[in-house]
Amino acid sequence: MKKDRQFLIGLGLILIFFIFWGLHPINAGTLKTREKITCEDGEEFLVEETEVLKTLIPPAPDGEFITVDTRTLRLTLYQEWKVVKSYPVAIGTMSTPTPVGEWKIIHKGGNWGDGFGLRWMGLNVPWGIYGIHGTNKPNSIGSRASHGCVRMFNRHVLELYNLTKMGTPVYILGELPKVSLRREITRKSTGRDVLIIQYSLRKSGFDPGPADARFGPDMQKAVLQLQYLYGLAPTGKVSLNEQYLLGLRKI
Amino acid sequence: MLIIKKKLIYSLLFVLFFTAGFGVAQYFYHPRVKIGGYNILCNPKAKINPKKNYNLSLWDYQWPVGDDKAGYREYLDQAIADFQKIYPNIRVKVTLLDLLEDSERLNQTLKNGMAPDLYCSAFETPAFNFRWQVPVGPYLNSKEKKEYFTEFLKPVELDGVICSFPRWSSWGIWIGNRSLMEKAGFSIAKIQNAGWTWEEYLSGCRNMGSGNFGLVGNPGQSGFFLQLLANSGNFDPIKGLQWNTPEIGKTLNLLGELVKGKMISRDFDSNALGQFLSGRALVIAGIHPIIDNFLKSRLRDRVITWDPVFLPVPSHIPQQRVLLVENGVICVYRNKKTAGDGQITSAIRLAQFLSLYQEVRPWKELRFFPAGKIAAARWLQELSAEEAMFWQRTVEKAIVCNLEKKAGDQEQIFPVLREFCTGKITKEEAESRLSNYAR
Repeated sequence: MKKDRQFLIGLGLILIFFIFWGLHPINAGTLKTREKITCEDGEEFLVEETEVLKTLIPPAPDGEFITVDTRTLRLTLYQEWKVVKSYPVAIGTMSTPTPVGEWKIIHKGGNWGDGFGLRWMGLNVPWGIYGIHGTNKPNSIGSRASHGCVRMFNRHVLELYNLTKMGTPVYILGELPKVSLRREITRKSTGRDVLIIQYSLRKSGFDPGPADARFGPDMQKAVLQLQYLYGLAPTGKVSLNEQYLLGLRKI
Repeated sequence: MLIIKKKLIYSLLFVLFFTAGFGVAQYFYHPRVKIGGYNILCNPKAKINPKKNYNLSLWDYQWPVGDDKAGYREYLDQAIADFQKIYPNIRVKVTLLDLLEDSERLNQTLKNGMAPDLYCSAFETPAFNFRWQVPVGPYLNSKEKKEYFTEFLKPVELDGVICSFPRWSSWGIWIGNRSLMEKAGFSIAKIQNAGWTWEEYLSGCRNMGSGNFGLVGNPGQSGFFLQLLANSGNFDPIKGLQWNTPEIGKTLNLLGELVKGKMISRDFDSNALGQFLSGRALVIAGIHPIIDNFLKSRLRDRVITWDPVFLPVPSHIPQQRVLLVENGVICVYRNKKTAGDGQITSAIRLAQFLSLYQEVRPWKELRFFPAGKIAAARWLQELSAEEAMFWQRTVEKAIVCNLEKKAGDQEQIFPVLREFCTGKITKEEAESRLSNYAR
């Protein structure tokens, strides 16, 4: 009798644990605070704040947002479409490019030790740890020198860090990567090909939500709208038909 | 006392009879039209008061047209502005719906008695709402009715009454590869003019040579299966498309010949465009005609070197050519806030104006055929002579039938056809499953 009760209590505790674990939102920003990370540049940061993504950002932001133009190598902070600050930056090389897309700041933290790099603002890029941070190589600013991260002068990153909040949209503008697409891409897929499809859907007049390389419900809705308009089977998946229609696949 | 009592009784009786008479007169004076056994209130004689301001709400869909794909709103605003030149006292509030917002949203507002004054549908003709919808036919004189193609008025009629304004229709037609068809011995001009039979189609498919496919496309809900079913013979224009076992069997026989002759590939649906663009497929079927714009752009970019051509669906009986269409119509509703018969008349006039509006840019881009004759003539002007002739001949010769889509069609029809066309199930099994589906 006592053993039965203990067994049931144990089972109940396990069940409660799984319920709470299951309730935890699943997405890119699941770092614990005070956790060390190493970005694509090889620099180490201590994450002090993290955000678990719950909502997606719209492509036309109101309020605060950042753009990083990979053509002019400038980072600009906007507040309601007005320029607040603009800084020169270093971005990734041709072989390790800075990821073009519509991201969000999901980590904020600082450097420890000798203070190089100073501050870190991590982005929700699904295929790597990319972010905006300071540098101990100030001569690289204004060139393509990093492994994909956006480097700033330390005094600038400190300033930007204090001006921005978690969840601030970061739009990295430039040329999209050239990748080959999978034959079928479905909901919950992530990757560069998803990013390209998102931009193509938008160009064709269908709103996939933010171009964040994640095949979420907004993107599925956009795919279904495309299929509905053309009279294709409403699968909600991007197969070869949809890729041809979006001009992403050639014969 | 008796006199006072009598006077009182007579007065009361007088008031009672007067009220009853007034009520009866009101009831019979207020015009009605009988639809489906119901008497629907409508007052075509009500005028728009030029001194009164009317506020109308209009729902339409956000069609991705224009260079930036956001041009539809601009088009609609211009149309309304042109309408307001005639009726400056009518203000219109526009709501653009997402393409996938189906009629459920409309149904909800109808339940609450708060439907918009005008609803512009997409690919369907909403069922007539006996409580709130205003039939538009009584507001039109015979000259106004003649401004529309009769063929597109029929799908919006109920008991002989025009219930909504036809605006455009998306046709269930096929697109062929001209080069491959001519190599297979087809005469495009003859097919476009006089149609083609199933036998002719199959014979041409066999002439194509190996490695080519007779058919790619979408067999599903608005796809080629129902188009072929409608053209399997014995089509009743009054009853419309019937879901009968003999006709299902005949249609599956046709598809079975293609499967047997290896003229349908395994990915005939998911890679329909790829196969058609590669020049290996004779026709692409069951896809909306908007695909023509995409194909023409590929031709301009020299991705393809052959002409895409519009074709009617092959018919089992040469004399009977059935054209399944998905319509865009404009419905007019009253609601709890409707401010009198004048407002309804203003909504009717706006709906009529929009349905006949001669600026046809969006419909050209979407390949939606306008229901108004003058708008259609403008639409045809931009096409080549051969294409214009095809569209004109089709509307003259085909029996136009509204494609009624039912919930569950796609999930029930599509998988069975997919399995049959890829040889996974027999014709008997496919026939049994499709026949059992209670459409």
